[in-house]
Amino acid sequence: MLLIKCIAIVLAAVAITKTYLDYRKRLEPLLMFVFWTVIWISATVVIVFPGLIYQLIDYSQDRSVTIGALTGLAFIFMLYIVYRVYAKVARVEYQFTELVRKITLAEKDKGKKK
Amino acid sequence: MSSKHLIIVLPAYNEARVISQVLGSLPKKLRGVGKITPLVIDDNSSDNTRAMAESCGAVCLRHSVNLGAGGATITGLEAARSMNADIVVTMDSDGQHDPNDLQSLVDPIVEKEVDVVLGSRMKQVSKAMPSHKVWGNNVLNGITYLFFRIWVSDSQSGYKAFSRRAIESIQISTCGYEICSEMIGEIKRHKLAFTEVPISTIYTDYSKSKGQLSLNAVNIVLGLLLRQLRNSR
Repeated sequence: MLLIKCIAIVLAAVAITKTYLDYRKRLEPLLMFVFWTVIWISATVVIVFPGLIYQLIDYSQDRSVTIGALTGLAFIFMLYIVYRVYAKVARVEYQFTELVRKITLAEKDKGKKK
Repeated sequence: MSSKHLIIVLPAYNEARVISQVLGSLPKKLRGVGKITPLVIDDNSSDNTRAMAESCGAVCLRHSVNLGAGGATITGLEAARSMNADIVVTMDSDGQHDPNDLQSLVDPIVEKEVDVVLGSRMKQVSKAMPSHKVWGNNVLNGITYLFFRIWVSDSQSGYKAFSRRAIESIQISTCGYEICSEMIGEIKRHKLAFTEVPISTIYTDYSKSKGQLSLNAVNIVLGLLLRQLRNSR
């Protein structure tokens, strides 16, 4: 378990560093950097202190909420994000390809007119 | 005398070393063809592929960003359409395809027998063809059949000839290596008549180094799967 916790901390540190570098290079806005940093820190805290989940369930007073249900919910959320990213990337890639092609063909036509 | 205009589309990426040789080896005359125009699509090469191609008299278009072999082929087909080509041949620019096979590729289109001619390396398998490539091609033929219900002996061959009707009908939506399989699917969708002719493959250390990796099969399957899902609406 200690190994998994260590790996989680290292991965989170890498992810946060990468986000910070993107922010510093002005590739991402401050809000995006803060959002992802909070997400990774939260996930790491849950992995390092799994007891927090039980406390959360106890706090909610709802016995029907189980670790399995929470994991399932997190999994669906992750898959939804992956799907949204895929759909967006596929659409942008297609449009980008079309744009490059149109520019290339327009340059050919321009060269012909000269 | 025939007035048919043949455009040979050569997608090229960093091929400065061999492009002059490939263009120089293209025939100046073919039976049933009045005019031959080599059209090089420089896929944003970092070397002087474009300058070399233009110095050999080829028409050259350059992508401002690298789109991959599939993307360059589609640009070539669209450009050929706008240049009023009667016949279009797609050919690799790494010297792997033998220009001596051009006549047998265009003949069935000149004779108006078919709309698409597929060059097949599997009809006369060269001993130089590595066995893993033979095996990989057969697997991809099977995958292409599963996706499009059409059997061809070499679904991944880039050496093909198209009639004007074919290039006006075919609509490609992928741009990776899966383009070859998608073209086969388009032949089926538009009910285009096609035939396969044997072609020889020239294997040199250079062409081998530029060839597809076997691992690309995974990308091809994934690309076809995503295309199928996208187009299922």
